[in-house]
Amino acid sequence: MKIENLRKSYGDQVVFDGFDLEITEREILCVLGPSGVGKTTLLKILSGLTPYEGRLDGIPERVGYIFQEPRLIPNLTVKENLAFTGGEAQKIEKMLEEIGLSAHAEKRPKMLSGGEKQRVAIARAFLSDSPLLLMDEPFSALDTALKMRLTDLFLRIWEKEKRTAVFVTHDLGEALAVGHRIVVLKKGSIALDIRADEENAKEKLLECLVTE
Amino acid sequence: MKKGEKYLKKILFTLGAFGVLLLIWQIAFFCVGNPLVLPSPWECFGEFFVLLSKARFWENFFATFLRAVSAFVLSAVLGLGFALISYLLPSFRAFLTPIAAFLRALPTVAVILVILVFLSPASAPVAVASLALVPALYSSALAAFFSVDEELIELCRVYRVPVKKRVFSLYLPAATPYLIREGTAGLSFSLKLAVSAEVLASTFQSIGGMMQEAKLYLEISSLFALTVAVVLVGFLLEGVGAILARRVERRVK
Repeated sequence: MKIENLRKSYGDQVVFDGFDLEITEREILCVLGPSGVGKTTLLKILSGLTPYEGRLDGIPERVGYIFQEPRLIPNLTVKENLAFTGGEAQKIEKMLEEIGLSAHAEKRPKMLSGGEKQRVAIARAFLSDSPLLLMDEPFSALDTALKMRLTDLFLRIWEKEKRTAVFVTHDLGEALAVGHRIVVLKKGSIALDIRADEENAKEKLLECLVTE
Repeated sequence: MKKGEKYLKKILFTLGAFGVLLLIWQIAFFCVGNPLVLPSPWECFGEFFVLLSKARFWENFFATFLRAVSAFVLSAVLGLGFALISYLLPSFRAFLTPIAAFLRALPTVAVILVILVFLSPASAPVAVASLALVPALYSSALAAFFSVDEELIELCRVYRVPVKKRVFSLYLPAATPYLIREGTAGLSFSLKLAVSAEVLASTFQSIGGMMQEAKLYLEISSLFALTVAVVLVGFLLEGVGAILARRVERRVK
């Protein structure tokens, strides 16, 4: 999947001006960077939510998206929420088992805790038949213990399905724990592109993040 | 303040307000001094209970109520349908906005008189009430659709959720509490409009027709008693609607 010569601005504010990025299939690409650098805009472009100029190659029309908030339909049960975005009945049952929420299938979102709601959101993304998953700081609103549990859950499901994922975060630890490859965005372009298992990856990322 | 105390206070205020109204009525009755012009409240309430015991009242009442309900159902279907299309198609909305504004501005009595030229006295009240209700229900339904959470709409766009599924699982449930609240107020309004049209059309078998008859025979206490009956049904409808809306709201939010 390729992004070529991407240009995007909001009024006078230029977010991307000739941005290029290649996304390798079946790996998790973490996009790291400070707030306002265009991480969410990049996901919105990839998901077709916002117009842009440039060329996107191989990006599927339909994507799985995990937002910062669970975004569950309040009047639908957990099961109905999963079916709403296109999950098949059999796969939903299996996925509910996988995320440990089978007993909550008939409950409405207001009966669930924050962590449980976000588990449903993860399940919803994996239930979409798209080969591309987009994740916009999905665990940032959760406490550390819950964040770790959900990261584990995500990686466990990902291991089985191995879908291409773009994971946006501003948390270096999270990026290193989840990503196979990490890119740092600065002023609308890539300041660093590194493999997570590369030697001294953490130090290089830190240096890149702290220097202007 | 405890919930019980709050309700008690509300009931006391309501009773107080009705008490004041009755007092004003009684004072006006003493001032006018002519029961053919203004009967006493007690005479009217007595007449009201006499009316309740008459089969003819109930026949006429149900005929009027049926007209009001028919007008309401017709208006709800049209208002909701147009609102949904307007929400999904901005160009249709732009086309419909001035028409809705025009219909809202139409004087009801003028509409009744014009419609009576074309329709029978039995069907004219339905048409009159519908004409006034469609723009009102259209506007509230449209406002309800626009109040749906922007983030959930974004979710639908990302996951390419089909329009039919969005309408039935997201838009309609989110809009239902508003629609019930507006709808029951609309039903009560529809009843008033239907009665007004019946009076002008002298509709056979109707509360409006009975009111016209009472006026002709100078049965003023009966006229007031019929008015009290319409007001009470209006209150009842709005009360039931508010309770229903609160219940649905708790379920969908």
